[in-house]
Amino acid sequence: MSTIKPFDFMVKYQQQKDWIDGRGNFIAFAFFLGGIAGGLFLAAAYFDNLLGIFIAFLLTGLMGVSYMLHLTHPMRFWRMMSKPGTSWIARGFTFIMLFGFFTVITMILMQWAPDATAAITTFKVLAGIFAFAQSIYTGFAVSYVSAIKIWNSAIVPILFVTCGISGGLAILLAVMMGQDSTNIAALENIIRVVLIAFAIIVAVYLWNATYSSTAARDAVIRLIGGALAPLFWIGVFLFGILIPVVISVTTYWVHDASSGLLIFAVVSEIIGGLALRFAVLKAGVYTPLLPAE
Amino acid sequence: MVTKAKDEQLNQKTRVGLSVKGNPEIWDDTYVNTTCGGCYGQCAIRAHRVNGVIVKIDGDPNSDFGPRGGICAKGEAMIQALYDPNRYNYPLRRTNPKKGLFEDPKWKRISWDEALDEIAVKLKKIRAENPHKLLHGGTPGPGSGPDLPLGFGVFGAVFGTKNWYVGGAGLHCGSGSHMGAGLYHASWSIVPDFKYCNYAIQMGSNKGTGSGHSMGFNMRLAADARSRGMKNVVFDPICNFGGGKATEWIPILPGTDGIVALTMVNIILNELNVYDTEFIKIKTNGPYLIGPDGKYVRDKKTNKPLVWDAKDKKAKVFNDKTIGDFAILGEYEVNGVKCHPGFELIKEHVRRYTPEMAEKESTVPAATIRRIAREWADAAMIGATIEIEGEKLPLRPVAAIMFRGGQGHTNSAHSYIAMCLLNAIVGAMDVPGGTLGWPAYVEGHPETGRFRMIPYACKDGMLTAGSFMEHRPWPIEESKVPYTYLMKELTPTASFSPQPVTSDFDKYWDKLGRPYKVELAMIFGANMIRSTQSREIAEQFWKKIPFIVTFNILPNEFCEGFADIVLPDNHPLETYSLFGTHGPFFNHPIGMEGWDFPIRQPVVEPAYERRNKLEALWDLADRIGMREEMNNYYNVYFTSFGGEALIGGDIDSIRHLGDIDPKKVVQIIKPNEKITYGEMIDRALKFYFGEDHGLDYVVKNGPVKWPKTPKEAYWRWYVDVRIPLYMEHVAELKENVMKNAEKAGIELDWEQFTPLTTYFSPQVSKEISGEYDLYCFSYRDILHNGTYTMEMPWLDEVSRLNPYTYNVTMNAEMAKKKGLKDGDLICLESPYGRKTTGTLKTMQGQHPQTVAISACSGAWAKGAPIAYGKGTNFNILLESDFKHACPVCWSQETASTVKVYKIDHRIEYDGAGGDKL
Amino acid sequence: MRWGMAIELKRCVGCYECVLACKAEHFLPPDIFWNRLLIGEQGKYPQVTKLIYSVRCNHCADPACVKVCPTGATQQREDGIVWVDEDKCVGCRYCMVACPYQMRSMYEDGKSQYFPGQELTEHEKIGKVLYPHMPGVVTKCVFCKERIDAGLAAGLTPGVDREATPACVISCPTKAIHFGDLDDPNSEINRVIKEKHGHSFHPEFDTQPSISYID
Ligand code: SF4
Ligand code: SF4
Ligand code: SF4
Repeated sequence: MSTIKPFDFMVKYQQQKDWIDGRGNFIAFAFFLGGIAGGLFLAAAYFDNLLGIFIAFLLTGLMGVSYMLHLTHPMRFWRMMSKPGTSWIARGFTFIMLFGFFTVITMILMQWAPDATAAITTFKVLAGIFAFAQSIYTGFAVSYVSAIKIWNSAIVPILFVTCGISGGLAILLAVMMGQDSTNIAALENIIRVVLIAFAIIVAVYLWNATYSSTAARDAVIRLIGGALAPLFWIGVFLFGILIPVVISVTTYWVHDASSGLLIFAVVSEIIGGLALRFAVLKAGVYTPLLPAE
Repeated sequence: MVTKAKDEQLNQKTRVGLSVKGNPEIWDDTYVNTTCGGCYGQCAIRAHRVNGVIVKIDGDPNSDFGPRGGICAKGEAMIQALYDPNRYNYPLRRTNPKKGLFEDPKWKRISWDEALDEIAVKLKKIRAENPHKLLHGGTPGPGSGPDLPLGFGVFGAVFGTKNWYVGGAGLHCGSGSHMGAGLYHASWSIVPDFKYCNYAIQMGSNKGTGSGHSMGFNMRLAADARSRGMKNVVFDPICNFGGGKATEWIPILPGTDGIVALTMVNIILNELNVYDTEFIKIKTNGPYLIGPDGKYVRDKKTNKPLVWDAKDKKAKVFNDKTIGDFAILGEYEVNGVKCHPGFELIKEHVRRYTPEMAEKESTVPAATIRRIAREWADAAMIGATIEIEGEKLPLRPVAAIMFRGGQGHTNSAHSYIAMCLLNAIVGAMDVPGGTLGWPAYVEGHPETGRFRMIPYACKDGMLTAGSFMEHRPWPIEESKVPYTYLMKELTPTASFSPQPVTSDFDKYWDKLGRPYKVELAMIFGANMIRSTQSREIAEQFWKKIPFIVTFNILPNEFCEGFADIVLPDNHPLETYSLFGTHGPFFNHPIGMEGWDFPIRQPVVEPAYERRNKLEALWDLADRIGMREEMNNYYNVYFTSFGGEALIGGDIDSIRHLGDIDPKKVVQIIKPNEKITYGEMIDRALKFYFGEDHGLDYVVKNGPVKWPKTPKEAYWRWYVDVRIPLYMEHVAELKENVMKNAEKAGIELDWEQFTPLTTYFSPQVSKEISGEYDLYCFSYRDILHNGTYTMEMPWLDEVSRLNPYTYNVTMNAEMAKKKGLKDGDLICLESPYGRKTTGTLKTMQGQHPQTVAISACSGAWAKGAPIAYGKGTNFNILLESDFKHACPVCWSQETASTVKVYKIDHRIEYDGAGGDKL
Repeated sequence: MRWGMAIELKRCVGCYECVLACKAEHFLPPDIFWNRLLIGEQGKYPQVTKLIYSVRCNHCADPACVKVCPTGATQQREDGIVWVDEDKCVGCRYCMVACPYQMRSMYEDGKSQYFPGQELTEHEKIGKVLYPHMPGVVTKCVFCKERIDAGLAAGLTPGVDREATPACVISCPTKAIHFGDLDDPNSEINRVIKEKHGHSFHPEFDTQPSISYID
């Protein structure tokens, strides 16, 4: 994939690689997990679904593992909280820690002190705040990078968080279907709205990027017509948007949809979310340092 | 000196100038003044040694001999050649009797005694039978080049062989340019006076942009000039090094520079009518009267050439003090024949070169040629003067130069001289701002008066160098029936010969009755198989030499394929050298840069059994009873080279000892003495610069230096010498050369033996036809020199970062037309069926009809793993025979006609034995 | 005090010595470059200009890399030099991603050598003593801070005295690189930048590079 010749380094548009190649795969994965974990927590908390919250917690743990795999000196991970004043990674890491902490308390209370509603609500809200933070920070970590024009957009955090929430909702749907919950219809409605919002945000994001700079336009071209097109069209568009939307919409009319179809939508949505992280990270290009031809 | 002391003091206390982390124990932190061996430049450097290891190379900030504190990447990377684990560490003997391009030598380690004894037996036998049976020479590898004359040159001269083969006639060097620079500047080569020049024209040359000899100080001076705003017009097929830094790059077809230069001369002389009459009258043979036979009309009594005194209206001998005004135009009758001044003939002769005709041949637009000619004539400021250090001198701030690329063709001599005419007609030769030869005029060290070399007037008043080292000095030798393998004696105007490594040598040698057979070849440093002509032609020749000895530091294709014994040489950082910086005309700083005499000394001791090749040669001399003769020769050499003993003449005069005044030969080495190289350098330095300027002084203080005077820098008007604008001697020679050539069955392009500088189409363009539609040439990349630099990992790393170094380049449009794109593996095939392959990189800055390759790449030696398979070997494509050589100076045709197509693998590595490519 | 460079493009011939001087000075492992040459062309045949830029970390006054570093390993000194504390770097590569000029690299393979599969050279061996590099951390040009610090301590002036000046600057054969204090209005480097209209890479990234280029 990385066919750039050594002598084209920063002479031509230079694809971002540190957060995608090799170990870099893990950071993309971590961002994805963080996003859906946050989204799932929020959804599960809304529907008071302890299992969902627990899965969100597990996914966050998995995000931590993925993060560690990304680091070359993981034993120094604690240093990553040193500079929350300026660094989104430091902030994010703090969010994750706090989210984990409050979620554990929430879960303990929900399981063993279900009557302490005030406390539960307090911690749920606290955990919810950090769930949201954890979900959205991955977007900020990316959008903060002014060097990469296609990342450096206020839409990215929204995009990431929407993607996280839709993924989270999808997982919750699966959980609730397993539990034969009665709230599925309500959840489905939310999912429909979120998915359509997501599709719109993706479109706005790309359309906006083509206007913002030549580097961003170069990135968009790579995404929709270049080397990244399969990832974008199959991963993001087909799995992330088209299939879930079609299924959601059809289930809206055909009320008695099979749960198999819905599960398929869920899996599809998760693949789409992952593809989106990879697509955005891969599409990151740096502006050459030599004057343009 | 002060800086050095300061350095030492600082380094001891605080380790200033050394990046270290933590607190490592440091027991040695020393700067050693020495010279770089990365190329001929021999820049003055300071090697930084820490705990016994050379950690970094710095330029010597106090020496003009180089970039004054700077250095180039090759110089830095020399550290890696020094510590290369692939180096030859012991004498080796070939055990595989088969020789050939890809043969594995199956080396066996032997002792120095065993090696030298074996060679000595052969040498003794040969010397008794016929010394010419020894062929020796080389082209410089790291640390080898500069010792060329002092080591092998002297050894061969004393031994008695004239078979001195320098390899690759014009391939890495300039046969035409050395001939021309010798004739017109008493020097090795030419360069703009960067300090004062305002308008420099470069034709196929990268001087000032990082290649060529003396690239060190040239880079520095040229950068100053560019920064100051000097206009730099570069005619070159490629916009890479010279072209890349030009203020105007003008793409041109290879080998057609001559017609552009002649056209400009025509415009200047016949349309603009601006020329430096005074220079032409006083400094050239322009006024010499030429008879109907094309030769000088000579005075009956003195046999000296005649000129026409326009004031007295009569013919006089050229140096008659009573001449009132030299006529350079017109027709006269003298000695009963109609005759014209040489200048008049030239002026009329060049009328045929119209810009339109030049455009057709070279593709340079006629309008561009017209404009450049006008700009040049304007910028020349004929008549202007400048005062430098109290001396009033002519100021001619224009310079035209050419080097290998421009003159590496079958029209080498004429192309180069055409370019020289541009300088001559405006008087821009060895005056401020003009074209300078490397220093030809040294008045000597202020304390001793030695190291004195002053050009003088030889036959017919012609400029002749005051040292032996100059190409084709006067008097021009007579043509002889070839008796050496090189056959150069046939054409005394030839610089380097492609013979005998050609496809037609045997034909001529047969015709001559095979007078003898070379039995032993001693080659140093060189890669005679990869850096010269088509490797198949070379293979055929070297395979048949019964015994080959090479001195080298690193394995290469020649050693592996053909050497019987390899002797491990010293790397420049572990040995001495004197000659590298011995010749001012070769690589000393130009213009008002100071006299500066750096010496190479060991920075680290040679490891294993590596030895300095000079000392090894002396051991050989001892074994064959030749040491005394060599010692005597050295005495003659030193005392005539810048000493008092030379009366006049060239290396031959030393060989014949004819021009040496024996009374003035100082005995620097006693006949039976066995001294070391270090001692020899010490004595030579003391001889030149006085007792207190020996080796100790240089080791402690760095180079011996003294200021240059304006008279030395710009000597042209201080010596009463003339240059041959009209090449009468070529006409003189023709008859005898033809006669002698016939005896060997040699056919040359006799038309080129004309005294009037003429444009001849190069062989490469004659071979363009049908699908063979492109010109392929090689250029010297700034990162590489010879073939050995390819084995240095740092250079390899940065070569890979460079878009062009390891790739074959073509014009982007042309590539598209041929259905080729970046990254394609392409094959280049010559009309003779020779093929080489490489990866395509397209460029905008390249003439559409050309394909370019960085020289000397494409290694296949198994002992050089870093170099293996990198880049493309261009030389594979080159024919080597008289048809592809300039008849006058014998430069090889260094461009090849090719067709280009896609291919699936690198066919030239089939059978190489290393990794499949 | 704020150290900076001004690079005269007219002078530079693309010899790569600045790259190798840095390699030698800091014993950089294979494939690690603290500085590079970027080579390209501008225009269409036959009106073509070759471009050569010697690039390295810009030691930005407002460095993106420092801001994004979560551990504080990448930091800026009083004199503007941006460097990485090897002992603090976790290897998250955020700084590498954030640098608009891509002047940072990760030293991943601690075992790489210049003659692969053969013995280490003396130069490599002594490098591991004099200037060891820790694998798995981000590395970059340090503006030769060791030379500057030792030089200043010895009373020398960086940019004037060789021993106190970065290795790539003093080794350039064309004297293309000027070095000095950007905060000193009378410094040679400020004069050059002003007189010859220095400009830096991509001002739109707002990092305020300390390296300017002069056409
Ligand atoms: S160039 Fe890059 S690495 Fe250097 S200071 Fe600026 S942002 Fe940081
Ligand atoms: S300033 Fe020093 S560390 Fe930076 S690139 Fe130059 S030599 Fe390397
Ligand atoms: S050392 Fe100087 S001339 Fe050479 S590439 Fe670097 S900046 Fe250019």
